[in-house]
Order: sequence, then structure tokens, then C-alpha cells
Amino acid sequence: MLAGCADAAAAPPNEIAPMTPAAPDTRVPATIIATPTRPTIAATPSPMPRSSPAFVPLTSGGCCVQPFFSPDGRRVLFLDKPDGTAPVGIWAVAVDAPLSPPTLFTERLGPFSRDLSLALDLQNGQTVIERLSDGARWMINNGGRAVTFSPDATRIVWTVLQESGGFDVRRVEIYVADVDGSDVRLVATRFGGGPLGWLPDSNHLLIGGRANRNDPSPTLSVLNVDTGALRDLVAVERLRGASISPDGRMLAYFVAQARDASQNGMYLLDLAHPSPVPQRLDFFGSFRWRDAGRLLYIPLRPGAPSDELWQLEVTTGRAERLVAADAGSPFKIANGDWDVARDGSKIVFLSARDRNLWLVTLP
Amino acid sequence: MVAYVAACAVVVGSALAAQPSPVAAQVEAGAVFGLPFADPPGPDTWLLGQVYGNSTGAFARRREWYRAGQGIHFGIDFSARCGTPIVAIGDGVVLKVDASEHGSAPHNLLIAHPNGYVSLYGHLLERPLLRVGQRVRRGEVIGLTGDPDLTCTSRPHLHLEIRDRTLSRAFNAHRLIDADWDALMLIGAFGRGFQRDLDDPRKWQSVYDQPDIRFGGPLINEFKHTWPRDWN
Ligand SMILES: [Zn+2]
Repeated sequence: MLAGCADAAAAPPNEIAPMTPAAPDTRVPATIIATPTRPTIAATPSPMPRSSPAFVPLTSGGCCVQPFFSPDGRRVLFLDKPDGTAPVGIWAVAVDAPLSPPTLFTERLGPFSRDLSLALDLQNGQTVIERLSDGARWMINNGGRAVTFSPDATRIVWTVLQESGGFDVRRVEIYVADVDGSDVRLVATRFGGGPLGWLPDSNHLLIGGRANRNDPSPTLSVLNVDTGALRDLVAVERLRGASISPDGRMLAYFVAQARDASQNGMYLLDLAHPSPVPQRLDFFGSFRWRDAGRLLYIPLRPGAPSDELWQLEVTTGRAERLVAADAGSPFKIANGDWDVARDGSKIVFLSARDRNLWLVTLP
Repeated sequence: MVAYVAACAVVVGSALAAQPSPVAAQVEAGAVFGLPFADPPGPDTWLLGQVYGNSTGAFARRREWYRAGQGIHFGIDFSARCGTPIVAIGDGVVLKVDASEHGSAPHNLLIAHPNGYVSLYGHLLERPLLRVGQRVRRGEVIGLTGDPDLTCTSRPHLHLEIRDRTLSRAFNAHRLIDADWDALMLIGAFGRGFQRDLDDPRKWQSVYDQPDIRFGGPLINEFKHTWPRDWN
């Protein structure tokens, strides 16, 4: 390292981030590279845009980043320490009691399993899982690495990343174990990729990367962690933002700055199809699944007076604007912080206007 | 938002050296610079990579890559294909070309601006075709993006810093560049979270309130209790 002001470079913009999910979330950040060809789903704008739904402030005074819904959708949770004497922990605001003082949900900080039954911790450099119902704790023998729980909280996955070399070809070992730490096994090795998420059955992982260091492009594959069976889906260059639909059927992702510029854009991929073809979408922005058939998205529009929220019906290609831009609206999201309730009825976001959490009940 | 940023600037000052640089005190406040690209952001052009500040990614590398910058990412990363034209963020004069003592290999460029700041463009693809003392205008192409790993497939990006004239301090460039950072932060495959000091978890949780740093100063993020955990 150079003395003085060396910037070895920043967590690379497209790198494989360590597996440290902030919230109960089965997504696993990663990056792969490849090359899709596909028809375009041209979103068909709804002829009769609805009026924007109401914005409900949940907090006051500015507080809370990285909010997420409780599994039942009745509370919004966030890590906080509301004042000097309060404990640090996960605090909650009830969606039906806006602006009421947040209450302490748990002093465990997570990451959590999807059902919030288990929390991950680091103790003396060792990974520990705690069962919140009775406080039972056990160690995972994985060198103090973060793990991602399977959706049913019976399994965990983690990666061991080679320390040097180009990020697009670094060796990544993918390990799976039972949630009690037993039955540890290396289920796959990839170069320049890693696990992108669990499928809902908790038996399959979506993984990306090169199977061999010298492969011309990375591949998306579905791995059966029990049998080791691997089903290759498609080669995709510079895949980012992978998000699996709640039913595990579809993958949403984007490609940016590919060598072949015609590959850049937003895509859907049918994970259940034996040889799926990526379908290009005609928008670019932030996205979250509302439910199995509907993708919510916020087009990237720098300088716009506020954000817009759109909804794409995956099967029909019908797009509908749910929230229109409005200079007076609180809907200008800060930190990229927005979350969708598991039943798809609401979103919560951190407003750049006042640094508070706001709730929108979706039409 | 303005009031919020101003209030946080006080915190920033107190967290830093007791004697702020006299040069820094003279520089203009506000978003006086433009973005380093002529084209708008998008999948074909550029996107925001790692933000300035105490990002979780920088925290993980605080004792190695970012020690010189008090443990935080002391610039803004813009992901872009190798060879993407970079433009000057303001009028100025070329101060240094390929000044390896300032990092950001393989090639870098420093431009001194009349308002007292210096902009540093790092990880350039090739030595810029500019000579020291040459005047440049805001928006003028001054170099091409590259990749610190020299492959153009690993992590091609521009690392942009804004320093004081002595080059001993780096400022939160998000406060000095006129851009819709909130919109830009919506896009990305990795978390936008900032590392938490669990004794004060609201500290430095906005892109606008990240602290300025003094090169060579002590780490400012060796928190006693922190989240996310310090995973291996
Ligand atoms: Zn950087």
C-alpha cells in the first residue's frame, strides 16, 4: 500500500459483497458476468393512472435508516437507540399507530432469519446463532463468517472468498450446513460469483459465476444443495441486483456497463423454465417484488421533484404508475431505503425530505 | 435538508483535528462542482459505486485500504466501463499528473480549482494528455476511466476525491458536487448502508453527514461496539 493517500480502490462497485444481510432477507449480493439475448417486455402504460395513495408519517424528528417490515406486516423495524439512555436494539413502530413513540422490539440486532426466530451474532470472532424464543446460542464453525439463513431457517450458507486476484475471477467456495452447524459441506466453487439467494423451498440456491476460472462468461445456475445437482440457466455478463420473486419462479436483475452495450438493462428470467431466455424490461431503476406476479419499481430520474412508484404485472407486461412525481411529496427516498410488506399491501421508505419513515398503502 | 447538513457539519468538525486547515476554512461552501461525466447516469454510462464515508465496505477495509484516510472511503466511486470519458468537475489548473504518492493507481490527475479545492481523479486508464499548469474548463474531457486491477473486467471505476490545497484533507464530496445523490443511491447491487457505532447508531447515517478526513490521522471508526458485525 502506498504511504499517504492510497485508495486501493473502494469496495468495487460490482463486487461480491460479504454475505451480511441487513434484514431478514434471502437475497445474497454477488456479481457475475455474461450475455443474454431476449425479447423485450414493453411495459404497457395503464390508460387511467390512479391518483396517488396517501403518505402516512410513521416517525418524527428524523431517525431511522434501513427499515424493514415485521413478518406479519404490522410493524416497521429498524436498528436504533432513540436517546442516550435507551438501549440499542431493533425498535418498532406500529403501522396502525403512526407517530406513536417507537417501542423496543429486541435487543438482538440480527441479521435474522426470515421468520425472525433466529439471530446471527459474532462472539470472540466466532459466528453464533441465537434462538430468540429461549435464548439458546450455538457456534458455527466457519471462521467467523456471516451466514444467510434459508427461508425456513433450517439451513445456512456462507462463502469463503479468495483474498486476491480480479474480482471477476476470484475463487468463491460456497458452504452449506444445517442451522445447528452440523453437516457442513462445500456445495460449489465458483470464480467471480457466489450465491444469489435461496429459493423458497430452502433446498435450492441460485448461484452465479464461472464454473472454471477461464470460462469466457459467468453462468446463472440453480443448485440442489442436497444432491449437488446443478442446472445451468443462462450466461449473463455483469449481472447485478438479483432478486428472486416470493414464489421462486422469477428472477429480476439488471446488467450495466457490459462490454456489449446492447446487453445493458433490466431483465426478468423464468427460473422454472428448462432453458429460460432473459426478457428485457423497458425501464431502469430500483425494484422490489410486491408478490409473485408483480414487480414494484422506481425509475432512475435524477433531478426529478420526487420519485415515482410503478408496478409491472409480470405475466401481462402491464405497467401502472402507483405514485406520481410531486414536488411537495415526501416520496423522495434516501439511502435507497425502501421495503415492501410481505403481503404486498404496503411499502415503507426513508424520506430524503425529513429523514423520517413514511408508509404508503398500495392500491 | 440544508439545515440538517449544516448541523451535521458541526459534528464533523468536532470529530476531526482540533485545528482545521486554514485553507479549508477559506473554501466556498455548497455544491460548487459538477459531476465528472457529461452523460446522465444509466446502465450504458455510469452509476454510483461506493459512496464517500463510513460505508460498511470501507469499514471492513479500514485497517488496510483506507487507513490513510482515517478508515473511511475518502472519495466517491463511479462505476463505468474502461475508457469512459471523465470531465473536470470545475474550472481549474492541472496540478499533478500521475502523482503516485497520492494513490489511485494506475494513473491519476489532480486539478486545482480557484475556490481552494483540489479534485483528484483516480484509477485512470492511461496517463492523461494534460501538462501541469494547463487550464481546464468545467465539463472538459480530462481522462478516461480505468480499473485498479488493470483488467477492465474486475472493478472498472473512477475514484474521485476533493481535497484542500495542501492535499492533506479530503472532504465529503457529496456535499460539494451538485447531483441528486438520493436518486443515484437507489441503484446498486450491494447495500448502501453505513457502518454503525452502536454507542451512537444515528451518527453518520446519511451520505450528506459523512465526516471529512485528515490524511494520516487516526482511525475514526474503531467503534467499541459496531454493526454490522466485523465478520471475517
Ligand atoms: Zn474509491
